Amino acid sequence: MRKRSVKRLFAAVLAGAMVMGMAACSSSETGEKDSGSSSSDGSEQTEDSGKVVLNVINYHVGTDYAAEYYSYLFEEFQKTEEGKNVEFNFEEIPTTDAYNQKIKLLISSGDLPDIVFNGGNNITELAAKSGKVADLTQYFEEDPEWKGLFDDTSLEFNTVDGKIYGVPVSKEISYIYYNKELFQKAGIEAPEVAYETWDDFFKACDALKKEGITPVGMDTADMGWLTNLWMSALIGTNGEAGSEWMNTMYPDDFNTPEVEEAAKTIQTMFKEYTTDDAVGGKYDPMATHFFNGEIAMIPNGPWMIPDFSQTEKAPEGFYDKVGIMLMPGKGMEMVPTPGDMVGASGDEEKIKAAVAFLKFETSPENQIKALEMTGLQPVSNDLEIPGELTESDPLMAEVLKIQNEAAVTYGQNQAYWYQNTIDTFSTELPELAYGNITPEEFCKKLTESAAKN
Amino acid sequence: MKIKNKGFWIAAFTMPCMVLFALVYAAPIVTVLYTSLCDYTTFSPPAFTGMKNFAGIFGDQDFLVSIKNTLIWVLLQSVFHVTLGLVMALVLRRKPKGWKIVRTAYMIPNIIPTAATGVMFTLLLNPTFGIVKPLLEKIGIEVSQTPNLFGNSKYAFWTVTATWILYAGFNTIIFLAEMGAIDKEIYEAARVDGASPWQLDRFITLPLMRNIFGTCVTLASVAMVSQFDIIYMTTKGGPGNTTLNLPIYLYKAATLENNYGKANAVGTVQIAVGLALVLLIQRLFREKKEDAR
Repeated sequence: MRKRSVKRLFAAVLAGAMVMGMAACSSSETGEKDSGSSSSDGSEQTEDSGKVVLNVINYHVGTDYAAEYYSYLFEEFQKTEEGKNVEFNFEEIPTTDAYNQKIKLLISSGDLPDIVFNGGNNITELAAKSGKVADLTQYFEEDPEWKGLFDDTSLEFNTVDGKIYGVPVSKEISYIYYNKELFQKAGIEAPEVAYETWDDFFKACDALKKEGITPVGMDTADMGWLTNLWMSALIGTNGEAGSEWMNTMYPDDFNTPEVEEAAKTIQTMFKEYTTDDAVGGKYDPMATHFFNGEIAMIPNGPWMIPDFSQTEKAPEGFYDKVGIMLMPGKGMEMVPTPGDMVGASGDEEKIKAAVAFLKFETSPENQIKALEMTGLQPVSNDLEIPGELTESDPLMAEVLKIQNEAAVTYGQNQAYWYQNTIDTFSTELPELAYGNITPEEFCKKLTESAAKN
Repeated sequence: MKIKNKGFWIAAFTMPCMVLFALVYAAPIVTVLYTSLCDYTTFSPPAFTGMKNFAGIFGDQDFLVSIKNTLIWVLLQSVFHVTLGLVMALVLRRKPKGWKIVRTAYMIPNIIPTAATGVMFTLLLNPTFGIVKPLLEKIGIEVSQTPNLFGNSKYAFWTVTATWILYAGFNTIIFLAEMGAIDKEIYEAARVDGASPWQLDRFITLPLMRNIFGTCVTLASVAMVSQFDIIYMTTKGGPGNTTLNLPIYLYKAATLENNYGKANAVGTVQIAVGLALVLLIQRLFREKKEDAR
């Protein structure tokens, strides 16, 4: 009898402990939530500490090409008049892909941070239509000097339903990097600006191949960045129709003569002119091929330049071996970047502080700083580029010079296509490369994918 | 010993678990089921549209391929993978020389995170700097182009399968534990009757493994219905739709098309497939149990 009572008591204590545990969990969770909401409530923060706390999710961290620059930017902003009362509450998410997923999740079921960095992938439109980012039009109108830093195309690119939501921080351009040494080995001379035609370009590829040199770097995985740049160039430089198509936002018909022709050339390039691991390959190994002198040409933007002189990425002295040319026909990919945004927290103080940060980020001085530290091209057209750049970074100076030679500019798929279509591009490229589908079928799959949106 | 208020105590002890289940699983499942019948995207809150999402996915060739691939992988995992675990357990139970090392080594793939396994295989099978090229050269096979095992749809499905199908260490451990629980007197009696080692396995061990085999098959099937990480790390469902399965299709619908209604319709199908498999496997093994009586 006594034994039974002890057991009952023991059981009751156990059950009680479990329930209390649950209650404790629940109360601690509530506590956390409460404290979280209090810290995210700017007005409370302002009253408590006299500081405005801005929540920031930052993907420019770790090995990101712009990590150092953004760290500098946050630190320097707090030294300014507008930033001296601002504190940042950081959440770090390495890689753009993971960051984009997080932002999409927050767009759908949460609150966006106060400063919303833009990782592309149609985030601007999604965020604007969700009503979770602030309309910045009035801030541009109130500050004509700031607005004057941006051209119409850049602002239009960040406008949804007539309202400006994003502050473009740079321009994206891309062209071809080539290995001077390998060109010399193949006995060919690179053009000063660009090959006149794609035929001339492929003649050079044949000459390189004859010497046992793999001409170009391509990839298919992780959205097929390099192949996308080749394909965009093939379409964008194919007459007026091609250029117009490649400058169209969210294209839905890929079975046009220009796109099909480009797909056919891409198929040939995979078969004839690139490495075995291009199919299924990602950007990083392809960049390594270029750094190691295993491929002669790779398309990319100025953000790659700092890598050439980093000895943990490229052999010493590699920087001096690299030359720059535009795509055949003097084509160059150029798109305004999707701009950084401000969370619609409803707290005027926070919104003003976030806008002040974006103004600081896009000040002429910081655009130049970004160029020097990361290779990001200034979004403003008429900035004075410091003369010492020619000596400290001749490749970057060449980029600034050569882009003025572009006869045709066009967009690229990661900026203009629907996100699921970019994925289809990436997953169907191997099928195209191995001839399992025809270029027409490849384009049809892209059309079908775009139709799902 | 009779316990008073047995019902109360059962409820008291199971309540925390039930509450947790209701919050963490049941509520989201109800949400998934409801929103699968809605037009629900990043832009629009759920609006009831009936079976539209289901009609859409069942009319999509990629979805049908993803179901086919999922079921093939479930079958392979349930039959080949679990059987392999059982065979390994039978071999290791005899404690041949070095059995402890083999047992430990065989478990290693199970303790490596699957994402890391994916990256490892991608690098290992890279046609330019991986092991395929030197291996082919070593055995005297000359090829003009090194096979791209993950990149070419000719090989991709089986290459992805090979990243997990052989590593049945988890099942081996379960079978070994069950074998250890068999009464040794049964074996001794059989040995006295002149049974050979093969006959011991055939007529004693294997029949007694039936229940645990059913459990392993259930676990393996359910794991395959929700297999995501290694496919995402290696092929992302490509080339084309060669390695597409239900979770990858769902992920793409949610994150690339931003169509949560469609994604949840896929999720509903996934839950239905999982439940159907569990019930089928339970029935299959229950019938066998009755047969055995």
